[in-house]
Amino acid sequence: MIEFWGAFCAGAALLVAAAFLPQLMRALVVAWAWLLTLGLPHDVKERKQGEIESDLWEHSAEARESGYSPLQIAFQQLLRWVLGIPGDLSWRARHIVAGAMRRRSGSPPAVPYVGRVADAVSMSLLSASIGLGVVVFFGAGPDLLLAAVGIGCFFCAVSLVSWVLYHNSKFGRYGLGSRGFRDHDRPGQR
Amino acid sequence: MGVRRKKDDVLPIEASILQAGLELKRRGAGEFHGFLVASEIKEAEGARLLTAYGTLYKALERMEERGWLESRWEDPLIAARERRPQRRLYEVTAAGQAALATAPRPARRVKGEYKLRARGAEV
Repeated sequence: MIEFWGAFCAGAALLVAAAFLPQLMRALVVAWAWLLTLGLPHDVKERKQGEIESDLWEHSAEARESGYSPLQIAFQQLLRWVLGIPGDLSWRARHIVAGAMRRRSGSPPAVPYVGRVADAVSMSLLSASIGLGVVVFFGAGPDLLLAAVGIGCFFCAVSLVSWVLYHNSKFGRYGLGSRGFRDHDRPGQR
Repeated sequence: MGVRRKKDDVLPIEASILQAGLELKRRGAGEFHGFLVASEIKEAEGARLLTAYGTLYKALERMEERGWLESRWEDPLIAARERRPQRRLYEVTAAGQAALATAPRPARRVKGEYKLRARGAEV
C-alpha cells in the first residue's frame, strides 16, 4: 500500500514538473543566479542576474520563433545551465578572493557578515540537495520505486523553492510577453 | 600541475567572442548582447549547443576587466517598448582587436566562416 502511494506521489510530482518544465527551467536558472550572487555587492549581483534573465528571455523568444517546442527549449537551457556550473562556481570563488583581498587591504568589507553566512549556508544546502538527489538516484540500485520517490521529492523541493524565487525576481514579471514589462530599474538607469 | 596562464594569453572562448563581436560589427551591429554573441559563435563554429551561461558571462566580465570589451546597460525605454528584459550591450575595443590579432586561431571545432579564415591563415 505504501509502495503504491509512494509511486503515485512520485508520478504525480513528475507529471506536474513536466507540465511546468519550461517555466521551471527558467525559474531554476534565475534561482541559481540569485544563489550564486548572494552576499555580493549590489552592482555585481544586478549585472549577473540581469544578464542571465535577458539571455533566458532572448533564448526562449528566438527558439520559439525557430519552431522549437517548450520542452526542447527547456532542455537546451538546462544543458547551458549545467555545463556552465563549473564556470559559475569559479566566478564566485574569484569574487570571494577579491572580497578577501579588499578586506585585507583595509577597505571596508564589500559583503556584510549576514550576507556571508547566508551565502555559505545556501551554497552548502544547494550542494547537499544536489548530492542527495544523485545519491538517491544512483544508490537505489534495483529499487526503482525508491529512486522515483526520491527524484520526485527532490524536484518538488527544487520547484517549490525556484517558483518562489522566480516570482520574486524581475524575470518573473516579464512573463515572456504574456504580462508585459512592468518595470525597468537597473543601477544607473533610473 | 597545469601551465599557468600568462596575462595577455587569449583563451579560445575569448578569441571566439572577439571574433564573433568583430563579425557582428562588420555586419552593422555595433554592440552585441550575451545571447547574440553565443548564437554567433554557435553558428560560426557549427556547434550543437550555445555557450553555457557560466562560461560565457564569466568570460565577458574577465574580458571587460582586461580592457578588451566595453559594456553598458541598454536604454531601459527600448527594453520597455519591446517588452523584454534590459540587455547588457558589449563592444570590442581597440585593445580587444589587438589581442585577437596576436592570439592563435580558435582550436576548437572550426566550421563555416571561421574555418575559411583559418584555412586562409594556413595558406
